[in-house]
Amino acid sequence: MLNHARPPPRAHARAGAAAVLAPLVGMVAALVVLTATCPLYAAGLHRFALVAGNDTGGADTRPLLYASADARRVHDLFTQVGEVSGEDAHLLLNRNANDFLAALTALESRAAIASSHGERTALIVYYSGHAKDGDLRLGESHLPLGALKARLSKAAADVRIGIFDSCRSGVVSRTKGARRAPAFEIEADGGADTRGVVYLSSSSFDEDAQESDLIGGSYFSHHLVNGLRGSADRSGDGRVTLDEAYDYAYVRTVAETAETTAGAQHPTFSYDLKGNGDLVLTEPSRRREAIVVPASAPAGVYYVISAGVIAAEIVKPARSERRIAMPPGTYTIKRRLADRLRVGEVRVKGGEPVTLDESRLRDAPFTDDPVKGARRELGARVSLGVFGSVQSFLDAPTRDSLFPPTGLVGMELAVRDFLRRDWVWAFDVAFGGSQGTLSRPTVTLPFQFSELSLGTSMFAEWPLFDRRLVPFLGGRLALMVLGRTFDGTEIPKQFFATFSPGLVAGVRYQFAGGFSAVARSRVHYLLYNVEGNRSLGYFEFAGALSYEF
Amino acid sequence: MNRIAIFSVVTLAAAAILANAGCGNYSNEDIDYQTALPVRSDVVVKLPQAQTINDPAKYYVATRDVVKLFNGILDLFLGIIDQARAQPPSQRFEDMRVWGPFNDDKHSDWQIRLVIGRVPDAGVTGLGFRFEYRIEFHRRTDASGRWTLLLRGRFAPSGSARRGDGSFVVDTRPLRDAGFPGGFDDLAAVDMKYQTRDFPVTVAATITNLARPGEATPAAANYSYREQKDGSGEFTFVVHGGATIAVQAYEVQSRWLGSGAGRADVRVTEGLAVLLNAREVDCWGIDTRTTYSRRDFSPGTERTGDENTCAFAAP
Repeated sequence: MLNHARPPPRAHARAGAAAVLAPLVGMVAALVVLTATCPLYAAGLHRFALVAGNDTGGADTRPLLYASADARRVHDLFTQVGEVSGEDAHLLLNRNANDFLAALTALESRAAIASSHGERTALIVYYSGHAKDGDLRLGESHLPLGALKARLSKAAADVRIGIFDSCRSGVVSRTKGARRAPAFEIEADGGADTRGVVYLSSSSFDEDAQESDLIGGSYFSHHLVNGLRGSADRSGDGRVTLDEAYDYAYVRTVAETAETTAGAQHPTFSYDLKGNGDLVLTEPSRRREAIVVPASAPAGVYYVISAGVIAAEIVKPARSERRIAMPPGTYTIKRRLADRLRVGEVRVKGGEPVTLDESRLRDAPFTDDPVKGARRELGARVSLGVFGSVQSFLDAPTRDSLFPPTGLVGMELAVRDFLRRDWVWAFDVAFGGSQGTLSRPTVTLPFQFSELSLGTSMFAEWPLFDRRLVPFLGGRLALMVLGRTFDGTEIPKQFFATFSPGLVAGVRYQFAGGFSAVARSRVHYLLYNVEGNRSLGYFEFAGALSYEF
Repeated sequence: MNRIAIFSVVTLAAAAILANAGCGNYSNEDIDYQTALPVRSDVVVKLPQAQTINDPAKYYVATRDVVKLFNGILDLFLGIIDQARAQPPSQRFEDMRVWGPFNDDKHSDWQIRLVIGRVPDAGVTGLGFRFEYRIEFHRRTDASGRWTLLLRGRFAPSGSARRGDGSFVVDTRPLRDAGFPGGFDDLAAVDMKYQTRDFPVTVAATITNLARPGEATPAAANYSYREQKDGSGEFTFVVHGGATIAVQAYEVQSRWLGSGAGRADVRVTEGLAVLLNAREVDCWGIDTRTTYSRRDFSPGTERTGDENTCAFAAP
């Protein structure tokens, strides 16, 4: 059994083995050849996959943007090119630890049955979400990583692969002494079949895992999926092995996160394997729908863009073909040159690959970059609410003689996470009225007061308790149209219209099913400039019910 | 500076600018001046309309016709006031408001303005001031800037839900002399006093026509109107031009209830001496049909119906 703390780079490993095991050089050479030529590919394994993603991690964590999206992509990957059948794959999105363990139990049982029938089995567990203090955080629930590892170590499957894309996920491999490494290679120790456990983590034990709007997901999962779709097929044999996938994901993750403000993120690994053969995770060549960059195409990175987001990348070496399995659809291809972009479109049809024709790409300036980012597409959320409010001006003379306390009803359209995470841009309209009496030295007049208010607010939210309770604070600018009708007189309707800036604060309670209850207060400034300037203020208390689409 | 910061700065700047962009039509102080002007409901005669027009009482019809004429004359001037009052004041001073000048809808060469001032008046209990106002016309092509007076009024507010005491005088002659194209027919002047402080509301008016050629004094007619809170009222007027040769002028005192039922008592003011003590009476129900009538102006006295059915006793 191998229990590698840090497998040396591929070339060094071979040199060391030759020196220490001189008598077995021939056998090792044979094994190397065997490894290269007879990988443990998909057809030899009955695969099971548990894929979980959770955007929330409890009260002391900030929600992630793309954890569940990452899980969905990984699930698609394994079911499309990873030889995992639909019934053997469980996708859990924003579910708790009990759901996770129940699904794991179900898959373990299926794997045990398959093993009892003589099949060789592999169990893949992928998790994207929060991890903290040694626990996976699935919403408010915790799943101790140690317990999960112990569970996987005893699982009935021959090969168990744990992939953890979360902050400080390197703790999963730390006990094995895993370290950051640009590449590793799983080698056989002479056993007939590969058995054991492999852990991949997106970051080391002291790093945060980072997400990107441009790719609409986490760096690590994006590059891992990308590699498994074919980009990591270094050997060009149409299969992507575990070490190829990790190597690709490591290099690309480190390279891209090195430019972020959080700094480079280093995926880690550890494994405890015995047996013979490299682990083939996917076989992109078995899927006919693909984008092929021919050997004649210029070397470089080809970005495959869908809906403004980088869906995949193809790292194309010189004089070598690259192929990446993609589901049917229309994709924009982008290649970046020093002074411009090369942009074009390809359409992947069902059942056949499409070969990229470089000559059909056109030049485009950098300002026409088709990569727009995912925030608007994935992050922005819209809610519509109705509210009732009570409004009153602060000073008594204004209340008594000009604008009496008023009840209002209205609607508010809010867009969350549009400009920034946990920022809300809202638009509201309200109408209301009341009755009052104007007492002047010369006359006493009853009147009907009416108000129309159109407002836009920008406020920040601070979600608490798994985003159930959300205090917020921000600013608002309202266009107010205030009017009075003096019934039974010849006096025409009196009106005043103005813009009124103010502050808004409140708290929102999120119910299940997208409904929220909101308690909100506003304080506004108003300059009344008919017959001289008067600075006025008013406050408003409101209760609202909203629904998020 | 990132885009959020830019957005915030721009928003705050816009809010600061827009907060000064308020607009309104008039203030509470303006209302003081607006309410000093007479309104139609203060001074027009409100005779209940008939439920049916079939065979109404003779003197109900006479009353209705005079009311229509009287109210029409008042509307001529109240319309100008309403036209001004519908707009915010164009100039505000400490004790004065000016509406206009604005164009005369019917005479495009002319402009109108309404000026209201607040003047001290110790006689106005509790307030110590009254309002005085005037309506003036100006020919647009007149470079002298001269304004010609048409109407001058005054009003003493009561300071309560009711209004107060007012009066106004209309003299069309200066405006005619200035070349105003018309619209007043033979009307020379209107002198009106009204009080709306307490019920009954009272209105007294004298309407004078232009003197016809050969007339020593122009024809003038007096009108008197009282209105109670319950809608009942009394309108007294004189009709010139006789019902018969023997009757040159007669005075009609019409009284009615809020329901519409009423009574008119008619006496001859100019005519044969023998008729000076004659009386004619019409009583009508809510449908304005006659319930009782007395005719003295023709030879003999004719009575129909029962006087006990009348809404009012004889004056």
